[in-house]
Amino acid sequence: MTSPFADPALLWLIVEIEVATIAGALALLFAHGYYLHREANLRREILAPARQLLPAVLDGTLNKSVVDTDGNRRGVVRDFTWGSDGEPALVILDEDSQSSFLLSFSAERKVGDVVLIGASQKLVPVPSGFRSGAELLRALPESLRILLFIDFGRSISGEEKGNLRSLAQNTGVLANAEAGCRSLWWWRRLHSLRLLTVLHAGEDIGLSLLSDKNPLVRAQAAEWATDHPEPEVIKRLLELLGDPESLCRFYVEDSLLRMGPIVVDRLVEYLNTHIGKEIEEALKVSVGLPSPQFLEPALSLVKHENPAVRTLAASLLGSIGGDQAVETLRDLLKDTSAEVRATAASALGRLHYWPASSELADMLGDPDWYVRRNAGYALRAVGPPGILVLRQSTNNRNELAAEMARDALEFSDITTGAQLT
Amino acid sequence: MSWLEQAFGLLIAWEWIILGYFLFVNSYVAILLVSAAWETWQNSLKSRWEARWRVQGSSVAPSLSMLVPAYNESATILQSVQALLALYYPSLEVVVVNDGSKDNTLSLLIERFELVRVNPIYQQSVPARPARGLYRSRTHPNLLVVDKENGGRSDALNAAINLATGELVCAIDADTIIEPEGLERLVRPFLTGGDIVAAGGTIRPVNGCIVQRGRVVSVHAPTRPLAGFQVVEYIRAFLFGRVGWNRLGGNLIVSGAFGMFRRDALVAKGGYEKTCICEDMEVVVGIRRRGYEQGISQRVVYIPDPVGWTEVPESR
Repeated sequence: MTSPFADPALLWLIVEIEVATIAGALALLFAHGYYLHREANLRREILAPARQLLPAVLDGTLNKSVVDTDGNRRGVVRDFTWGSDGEPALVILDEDSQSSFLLSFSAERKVGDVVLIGASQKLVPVPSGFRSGAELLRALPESLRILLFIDFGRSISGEEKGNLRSLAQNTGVLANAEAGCRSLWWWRRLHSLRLLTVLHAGEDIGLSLLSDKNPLVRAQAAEWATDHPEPEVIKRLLELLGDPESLCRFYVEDSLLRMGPIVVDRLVEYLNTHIGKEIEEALKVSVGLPSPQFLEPALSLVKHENPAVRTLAASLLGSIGGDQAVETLRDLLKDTSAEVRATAASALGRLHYWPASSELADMLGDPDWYVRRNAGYALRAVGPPGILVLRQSTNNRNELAAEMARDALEFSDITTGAQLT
Repeated sequence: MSWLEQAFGLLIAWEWIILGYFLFVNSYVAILLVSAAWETWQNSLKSRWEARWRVQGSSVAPSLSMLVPAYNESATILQSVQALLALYYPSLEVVVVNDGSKDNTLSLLIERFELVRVNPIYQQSVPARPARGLYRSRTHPNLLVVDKENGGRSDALNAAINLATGELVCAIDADTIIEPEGLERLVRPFLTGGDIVAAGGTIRPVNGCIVQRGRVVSVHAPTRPLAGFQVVEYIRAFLFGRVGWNRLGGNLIVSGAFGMFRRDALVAKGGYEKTCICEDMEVVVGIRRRGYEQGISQRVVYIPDPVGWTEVPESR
């Protein structure tokens, strides 16, 4: 046997691998450092002044008259820009001479429908090689441009959002994003759609992305849908309630809940026509949007073979209330599933339905702890009749029922600590 | 064969062993490095420009209980609990367990948060020493304080699990500082898969950093060498080791300083093992083992995003 290090070729190979690894790591380190340095410069020179200027642009400063404190009209705000030193400025057009001037952004004061400046404020003629704000924005690297629009888009709404959308259109950001939504790369579709979501744009592309093959893109499309509650979008969202990916289902439920009562009709129709596991997700949304319109499907779904569906239907009945709902909930106290019984007891308590006190008292002896606990809570919630039943139950021969009755009576209110006994 | 030849033969055999060992270790580290780089890149693609507030403001977000075991933490407990209560999450509960502290941890909590004794109805789902008293805050309805006999960190966490009502529970150390978006970052994996039972994120040592009102406002390296070594070790372990193993499906630990679990999975496992000194690892291994034995997928995921800061010892 010879030493592995006796062969110079092997030794060289090891040395070469080591050197290549170290060189690669150093190259990566320098490349990353250069990238960070370049991005820091861009942020300082372009992003910072743009951030200062955009609020003024978005709240309608553009096209406003510029008037000095002596009441002289000095022109109209036509654009915005920033110099090589990063100083932001508004571009003022003097309508008489048809020449453009720069007004230092820090000098500007907006009062009502006009931009008010000091009488002695000098307007600097636009220098040669002037680039408008839109041009400067267009020159930004795509990632920074998107960052800027997303940054602002999330903190504004209404007219300002519309102005930002127009700016995005003028600077080509919207067109790029819509093209990005058609990319073969999932992450380009995802990032582009995130921008369109913030800008409340993408009516032509968003709906189709609800059927995207990538779950992250579908989830993002569901988020986009919140601001587009059109019938076709709602219909497609409801179809996604049966999506195999839980992230998609989460965003779909969240979007439907944020859309509010506008989805109730479609949801009722959905509950009446579907029978699969997707019903569970639809019921979760329905519980968050309680409406008497859900009564009929809920009464039907309490007979569903799946206990999870029955549980959610019971919860929905508890949110709706009414004679039919409480009668059905009383029946559900005898359900074979402990979860259904516990939810029914809880729902009756939430509705303060005191006539069910005796049935709830029986539930105190249920073999399942959660059913007993919810019955105890429910009796506490229905008020004096429930308290009376609880006191009687402390002498119940069933030790489980007596113990839970005692616990429920001793149970203290969360915020005050006040006790009944 | 002379003894010299035999010694020489042994030496050559040893050289082969060393070469084999280094080939194995370097290959293993290379695979882990590539895996970690891929995972980090993928994660950055997924989370770029994401609207994190969406989960925080959602009525369908899972409820969450923060479990905070505290033993002789009078120096930091008020600041820690205040910072936890200031976290924004739609359905957040904070369960602090005073694990038989010998100092005035409990009295400080009672005074600062106007605690009153209560009798909640709860089930002893996992074994824990009995509670001496349970307290709710008049000023913060989502704060529950448990006073119990000393039983160690695992026992305190088990007591907190019994009282927690959240679908998710988050075990943290009393001195952990959570990043403002840390909770949302850790909750997100649970939304992406129903089979995810535990999630962890990157924890960094807070030594040397400037902390104001329970938030890290400026990051600096510690001046003491021992803490400095630990900073490097934390970065290596979290960003390289755990993230790499995440892609390979081999994560067996979630940091005790800040880890999130599905409560059901923890209860089914039987909670934290009280006799084990590395309970953080034991609980994850136990959960995964249970999944394998029952043939159900129970995944543990790790996210490279920073989620929290913790104090590391600066002397032996």
